[in-house]
Amino acid sequence: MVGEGSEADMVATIVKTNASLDLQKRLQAQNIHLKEVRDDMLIANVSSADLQDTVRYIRDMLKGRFITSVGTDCRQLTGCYEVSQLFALDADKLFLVLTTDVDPAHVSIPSITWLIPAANWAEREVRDLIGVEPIGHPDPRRLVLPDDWPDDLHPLRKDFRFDERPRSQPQNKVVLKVPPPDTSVFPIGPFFPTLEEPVFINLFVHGEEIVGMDYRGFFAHRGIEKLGDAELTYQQVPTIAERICGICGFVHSSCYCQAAEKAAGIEIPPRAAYIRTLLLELERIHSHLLWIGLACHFIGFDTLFMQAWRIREPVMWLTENITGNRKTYGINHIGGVTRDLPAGAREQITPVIDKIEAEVAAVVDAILGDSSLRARLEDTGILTPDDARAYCVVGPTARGSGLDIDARRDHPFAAYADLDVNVCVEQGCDIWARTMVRIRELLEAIRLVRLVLKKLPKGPVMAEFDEIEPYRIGVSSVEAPRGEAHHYVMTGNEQRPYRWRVRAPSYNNLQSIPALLRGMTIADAPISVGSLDPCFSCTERIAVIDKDSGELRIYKQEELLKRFNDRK
Amino acid sequence: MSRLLDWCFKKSIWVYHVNAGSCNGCDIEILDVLTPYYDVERFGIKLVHTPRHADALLVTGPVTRQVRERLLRVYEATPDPKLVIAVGSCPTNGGIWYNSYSTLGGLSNVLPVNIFIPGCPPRPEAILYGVAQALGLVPKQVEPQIVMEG
Amino acid sequence: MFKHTISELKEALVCLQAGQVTLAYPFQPHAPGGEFRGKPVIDVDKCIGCGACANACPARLITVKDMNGYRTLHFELGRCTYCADCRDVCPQQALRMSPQFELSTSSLEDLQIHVQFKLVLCRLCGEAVGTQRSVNLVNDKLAASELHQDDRDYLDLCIACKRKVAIHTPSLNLEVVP
Repeated sequence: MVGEGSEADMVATIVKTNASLDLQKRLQAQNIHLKEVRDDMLIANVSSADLQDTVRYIRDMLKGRFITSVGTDCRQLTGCYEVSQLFALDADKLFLVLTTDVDPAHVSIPSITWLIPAANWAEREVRDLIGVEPIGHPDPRRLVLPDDWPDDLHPLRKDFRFDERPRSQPQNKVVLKVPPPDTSVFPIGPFFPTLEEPVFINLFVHGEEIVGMDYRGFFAHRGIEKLGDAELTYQQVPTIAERICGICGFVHSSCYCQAAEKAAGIEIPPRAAYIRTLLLELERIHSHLLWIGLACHFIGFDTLFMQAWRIREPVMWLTENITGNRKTYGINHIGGVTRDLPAGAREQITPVIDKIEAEVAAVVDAILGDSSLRARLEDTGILTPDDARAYCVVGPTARGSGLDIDARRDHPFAAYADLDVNVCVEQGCDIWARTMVRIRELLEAIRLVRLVLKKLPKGPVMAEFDEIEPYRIGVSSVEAPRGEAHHYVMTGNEQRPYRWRVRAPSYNNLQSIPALLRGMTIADAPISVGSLDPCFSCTERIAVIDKDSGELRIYKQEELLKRFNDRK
Repeated sequence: MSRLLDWCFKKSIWVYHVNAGSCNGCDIEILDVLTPYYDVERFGIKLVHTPRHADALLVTGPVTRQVRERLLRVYEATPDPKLVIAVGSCPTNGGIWYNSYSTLGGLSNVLPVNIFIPGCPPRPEAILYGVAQALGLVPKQVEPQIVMEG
Repeated sequence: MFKHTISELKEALVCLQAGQVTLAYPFQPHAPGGEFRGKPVIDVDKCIGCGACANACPARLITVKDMNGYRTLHFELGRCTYCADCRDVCPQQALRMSPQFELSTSSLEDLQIHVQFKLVLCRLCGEAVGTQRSVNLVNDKLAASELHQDDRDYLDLCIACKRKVAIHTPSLNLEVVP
């Protein structure tokens, strides 16, 4: 539906762009109809009947990495719903948007989860919010909408008002899985000590060993995408995007701006690109230090929790001084940044990162020989490369399992095309490997900040542009501290997006938790989940019901630690 | 007796943190208040792991529809006397999503709130100040700005 | 084992070298510096009640109401996100983000700005033209420009009436197509 034009126009566009001609030929040979081709993105259309074969081709022959699915109510534009599958072709530095039109009379689409396990949540979210049923999905339960939400009401449809609050239907509560025979259940959450976000997890255990789990999350579903396409304007969306996540605020506002800029064909001034890069790397520095502190807190090593957060605090003061807020920097708009760096910013930044580099070096030197810390983190929380690929995990979670992917290098954005980013990959697949990836990335981020300050060009920080043409698609990835964040924007005709889809890195990473926890002991569960650096993390206090004896025990943190140490 | 209890309450309150659907920004600033630069434990204030031990609830987030029932259960599990402290702009008045289909427009629509600490996110200093104010140790500083012409 | 003890000593050294860093806040102030965006404050002398801030605010906390010859601007600051879009868009630079961050209160009524301005009503139909202040501003700008002095006679007309009057004004030499 996008990019309507004659066949001749389409052919002409294909020949002119920089996208790999070979790739285009291969797609056309598969009878995959190309709708639009740009330097960094291809949009293709395929029918429902051909969807599964096409996805298999993209996965196997093109080595496409699944990002997410997007459901859009295009009934007022084309008469259909549209479901798009977003793929990254990292080796070709391209994104592939595969659209399928869905007839409103039969609101369903064949499920691709059996081909790509990472599509599990994305398909359920499309069903919840748009109403397109994934046929053949292994677990078609409600995912995103509240438990008491009516069945037939889909908020992202255009005939649903963003502020409609229907009456409670408690009978729709999501039913959790029945545990396998010979296992006990223990529930965690939704409120738990050290659990920063509400989430409900049922662990199925056989003695100490975890054999399965079920999950009810999305307690923080706030209706962000609906506000973005129904109530806010283009330049108000960055403010809400910055509040999607409590650490990666600037990541999400940058990613939205970039996707919208691509859709609208706006090129931002080089100085703005460098300023975005600078703040993204500063965000990475404080986020990784935060993770190091929290991870140590989960395993009872509070000394390092306090020290890591002490080392991190000057970055918060720095960003408060140069942008106006510790965390929600508030300077991203479509077209660039609204404020330049204040005078003297360079002189403020340099001593802070110099000090952090020295202190992190001292800490790393100290912990490398810490055998009890390493015993806790090595050979635990194993995520095999196969599982990592199947769940399409991103970020340090992927790089710790040997997957060499990083959006800064594979899909350059902001100023990264001018900087040579060293991608940090480890082969260990365990928590220690992910820890080392983050520490190396932290030091690399410091190097990048210095490089950005050296190369920072002069000039304006905001592009001038006219009206934004409606119904144009743009996608963008930003490498957040947790992994690749990805935004999809379809522009609208009311000075706001027609559709805005957000895929946070934890969205894919969290789906790998069952694979991560299988075969693990209870005591290792918190730090294993924590090593994914999700926006929440797991428990230190667990209730266990032993099915055989009927005994209820509450394990405190000290007891869990003791059980772990005794096990050795 | 109640004066004695009031006096005891002003010393060393234990707080239980509840995330009612927030982005995590305020939650991280709350944790930050424990760390060396701010060190809230020097006032005897500590984070506890169960509402049963809590004197005050620190609530972040706009209160999503999904979390409401569990939040009420936490409130009921917290013994009296207790304080409810709303941390951040989301529980104060619903935040930027105050009228979204999936949120409930602020904490005071669900629980009685003793004090609001606005900010997006509030600085750790602001959280310290708000908690101290809830205990009656420091005065309120904010006033409305009202100008009527004619 | 020996290696482990060395590492523990190194960890202790990190702590000792850092020393005590706790800020004296709240016993001493720790004010934010630089570009910090705290509570919005309106400079009522500069504000003309145009409502541009209301269009820009992402939290939609600014409402503009015209009633009984007055325009009120109401800011529900409880849900402010301190983004400063209101300040950036104000044509009169009447809004600033103050450094105030100690905003805790037990009453939401403390977190508001409420401003009421007199309106100019159209002399022909009674509809609101704009605030007296905005009309005064236009009048002053026209006076200073020495051009378009005739336009100053139409400042108390609303847009629709201004159009009607302009069409029927002979001096403008407009051709009226029947």
